[in-house]
Amino acid sequence: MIISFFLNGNPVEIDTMPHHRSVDLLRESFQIKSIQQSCSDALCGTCLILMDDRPVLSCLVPAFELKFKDIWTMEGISSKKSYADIVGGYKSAHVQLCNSCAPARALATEALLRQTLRPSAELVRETAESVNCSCCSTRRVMDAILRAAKLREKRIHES
Amino acid sequence: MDEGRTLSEKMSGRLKKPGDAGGKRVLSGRFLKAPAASGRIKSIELPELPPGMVCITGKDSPGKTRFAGVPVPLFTGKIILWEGQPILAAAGLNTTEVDEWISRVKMEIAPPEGNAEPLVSEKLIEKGSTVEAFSKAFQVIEERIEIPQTPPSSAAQTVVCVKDGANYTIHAASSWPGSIRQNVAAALKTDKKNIHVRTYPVSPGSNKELWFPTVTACQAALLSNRAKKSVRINSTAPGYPGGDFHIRGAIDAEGRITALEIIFTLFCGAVFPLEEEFFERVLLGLFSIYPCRNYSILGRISHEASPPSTFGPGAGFELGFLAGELFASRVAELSLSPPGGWHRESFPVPGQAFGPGIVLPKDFPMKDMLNTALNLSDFERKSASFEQTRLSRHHLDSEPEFYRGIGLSCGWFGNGFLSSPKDLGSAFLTLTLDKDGELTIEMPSLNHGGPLERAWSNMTGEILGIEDKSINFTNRKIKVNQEAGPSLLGRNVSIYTKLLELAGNDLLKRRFRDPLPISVNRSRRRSGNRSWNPNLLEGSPFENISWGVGIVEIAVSTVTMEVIPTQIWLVIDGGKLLMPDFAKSAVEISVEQTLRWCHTGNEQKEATLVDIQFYNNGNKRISKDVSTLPWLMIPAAYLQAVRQASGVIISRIPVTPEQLRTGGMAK
Amino acid sequence: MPFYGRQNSERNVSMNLKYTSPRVFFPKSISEALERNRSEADAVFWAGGTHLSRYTENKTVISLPKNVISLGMVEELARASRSEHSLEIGSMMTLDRLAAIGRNTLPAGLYDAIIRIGSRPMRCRATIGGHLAVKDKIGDLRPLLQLLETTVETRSLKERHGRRKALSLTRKFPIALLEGKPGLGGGELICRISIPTESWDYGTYKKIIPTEDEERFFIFTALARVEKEVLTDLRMAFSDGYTGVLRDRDVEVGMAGRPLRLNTKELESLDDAVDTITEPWEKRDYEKETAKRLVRSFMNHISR
Repeated sequence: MIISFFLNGNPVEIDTMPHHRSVDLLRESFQIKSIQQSCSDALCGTCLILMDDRPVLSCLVPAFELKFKDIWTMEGISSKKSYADIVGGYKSAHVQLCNSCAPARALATEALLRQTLRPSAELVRETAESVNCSCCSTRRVMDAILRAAKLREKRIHES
Repeated sequence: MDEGRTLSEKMSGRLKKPGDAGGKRVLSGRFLKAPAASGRIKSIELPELPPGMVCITGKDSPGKTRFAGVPVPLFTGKIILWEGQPILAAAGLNTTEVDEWISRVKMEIAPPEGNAEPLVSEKLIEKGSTVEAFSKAFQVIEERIEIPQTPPSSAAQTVVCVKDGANYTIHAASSWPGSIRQNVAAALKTDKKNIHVRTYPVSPGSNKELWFPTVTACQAALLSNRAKKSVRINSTAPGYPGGDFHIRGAIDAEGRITALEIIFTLFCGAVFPLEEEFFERVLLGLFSIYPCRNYSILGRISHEASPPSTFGPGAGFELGFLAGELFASRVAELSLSPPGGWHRESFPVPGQAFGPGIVLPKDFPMKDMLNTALNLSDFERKSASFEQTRLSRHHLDSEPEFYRGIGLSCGWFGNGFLSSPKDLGSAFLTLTLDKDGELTIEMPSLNHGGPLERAWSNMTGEILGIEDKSINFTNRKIKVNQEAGPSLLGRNVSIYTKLLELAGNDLLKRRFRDPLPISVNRSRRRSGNRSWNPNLLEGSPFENISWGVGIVEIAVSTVTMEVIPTQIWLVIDGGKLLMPDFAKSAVEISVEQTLRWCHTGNEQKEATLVDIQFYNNGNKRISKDVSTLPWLMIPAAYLQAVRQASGVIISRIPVTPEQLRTGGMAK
Repeated sequence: MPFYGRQNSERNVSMNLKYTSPRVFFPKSISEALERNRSEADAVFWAGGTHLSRYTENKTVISLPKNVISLGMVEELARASRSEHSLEIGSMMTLDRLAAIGRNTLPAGLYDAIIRIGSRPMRCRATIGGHLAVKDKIGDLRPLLQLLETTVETRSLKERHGRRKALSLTRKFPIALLEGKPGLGGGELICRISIPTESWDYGTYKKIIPTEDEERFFIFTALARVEKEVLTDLRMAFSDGYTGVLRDRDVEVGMAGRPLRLNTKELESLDDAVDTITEPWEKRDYEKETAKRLVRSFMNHISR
């Protein structure tokens, strides 16, 4: 099946099996290394991608669902200037992230910042809990998300 | 080392992970796993392999990998040892094709012959005169606690074997690269010099990457050898052992513990490498801090047909301390003295050994730390008022929404290993200052820009007057004969920090005397710990000891029986803190994980308040592990608090609402 | 459970794991989707797919039926609107978008119920239609939606003897009828969910997991109206996800008109009623006892 979609802002096309897991498809055919197939059971969140601006688990998305969708991964997001807000937020909150979950945490944060820059505590907690990894404390990640939101707001005001 | 840059690379996904190694042409390996926990494989029928695909079974592997002398099978033989045990592995360029081929493998499995009773080994440790002490006891107090095994992790860990001619490079997150090199060489029947190991950061705070990456590395290497190509394969980390503890103590009129009788069983799954080290740490944890000269302990290790185990965060201390401190709190409660006061009075005094006979350090800080924790938490007042509420609840007309409880626990953590196998104890590093003023630090296992490396970089930079950006870490030049032990149990913090300091000072002295480049080696061999007698449990078992006091306050809902931890106070002695912010963050992470171990199923909307105080982190003191202590202190304090609030003697973690209801928590 | 005997290594997969590709159709309208379903006898409607996708073992492909009708491009199913009396929600609306309507705008308790379902990335895929259509489990939202008198609108095609074109049928029914028989018919597509937005003075939703087994849980949800310290309307339901939505309308009617706070005798008789309602949970003491306490706690709350 030929599937066309946008990947990190660029139109792409692939001939693949429609029930291929998107996480594998993106890793193997598009060299998207920021996502990982770790649990395949919607538990860990390390395969997070942005699909039409919403965070979704690519291990649960069959390839056919990518059709005509706008997909963003950290490869694309980290090439934008505004990525510095996320790094700045996490750095100033002294969050020590592991290699496995760091891109997914950044992506979940980006998804939230695209939705709102004044998130409720509940939304911040949900964003922090989108990724299930024992390398950092939820409280610190929540703090980092709020700091990133402030930096993004400042950037928008200044521009 | 620029922290922001490292974080940016990590979050963007650009920082390499094991799975990224080898490029596009790496074959994907998959396992066929045992569908039942036990049984005999009568026959396996393999479909024809498509071109480019390879397969290996138990017959193709040389046998077992070894960890400090303990064998672990790479594949199932005729007998299945646990559900999910690898029966065979296949690799091909297209993962779906490999999956499809594996789905066509036919096998016949028969039930196991005879009774599938678990294999149990036991050890009796005795000292003093237990019988006499019990006969003279003012009180005999009992405690029981059951801790279930933790199931294997659901997250996959990737190992890649990159083949280049006769050379194999293993890419894995492992705390023990020396074991990978040694075992892969043995599996391939090749020289160790052909095996290279590129390590990646391990999960912080856990010790799970101790041995299983080695098994996966051997499986990947065997596939790679057969395919003559590089192979990537995923495996899942084993769970942690559980235990069942029954403690009986003889108590004198002053409330002191005069003798202990303990029977315990550790449930370790089918295979548990380094179980002796684990067993001994459980034993020491059972005594906690309180001196006891008469004891009789019967410890069992049970191997059932369940997945293998690996070290938990305290490598056994977390089980021992939970049982030991829970018993201590029961003694405090039944001696009718204020709990804080009982602990203070029961600590060893200078000149006295603690636990079964461990030498008390001169700077034993626990009394001060205990006082600080008691004051911070207002413990004695709260404990008395919660106790009073519990006792008077039968006279209340209506129930409050919550009952509250508070618990106290003390703990210490032994940094490094205590067992004698020499491959566990050795540590080494090399510092090289080259002509351009660049400093290279060679160590066996690295944390790739992690906080500890940043701290080491700062420390060495300060000693030598070199900027951080001129300092690099590597493990690529490690010589074959330098096989260091695993980097866990606080070894990196305490031992390598010390080695680095010594090497740095040595280099400083030689810098203006010798021509550049200058190399300085430092090593620490601890083959056979002479200062520790494992039979008498006497001496100094560890390089360094971290100390801690923990207090947990909880509320139990009278409607749903859910437990809500409201506040935690921790006072920790971790010596000189290399990076205070990171130390605090590491403790916070452990607190969250420990609470998940303690209870289940509650909907907590507000985060638990955690007050962390570091005790006397003076510059002259040695750095020690701080992140393990919450695992040793919180569970016992948590259970005490739940018992006080609910009036139910809970003897199992995780605590569930149903346990409290069944136990009779009611008005 | 031990598994002995001769077998292929692939097992316990509800649908055959197909390494050959399924056919996927992308209709753009409801009628096109129904027509496709009619022409492909074993086709399955695909909404968010979270339920189906989770039950494939760790493989690179997701187990799918031979023919899949993806509803993602049917715009009319993704629409939502608010009228004076109800929220009209297209069945392809994700739970995340539903939650985004806001705690204060959604009927009492509904926001709390939604955010307890999976993680946010899961809810960004899971749709309300898919949630209600799952057959082997009662979705967590169903008890509360029942109390709110939610109705479901479905469409299907009915063959007409001798005619090439099938008859399009629309059915609108209370959500409670999704349970048991006839339930959702084969080929019937949930198109719209209508949730009345009448105001309630009190609403609660509680999901409790009593043991280490995350699959064992129970839900208590209740709504109440109180006027001048008189309970004018009470609704309450329980669910364990499998044995149906437990509710007794007679008990609810019997409670109406009672002055608050309830006296001891009234509370005891309510306890007895809850005992009867939760009879299907015969051997689960925790659930039965906690159900009574939750009801008492709710009554206590609305009496303040």
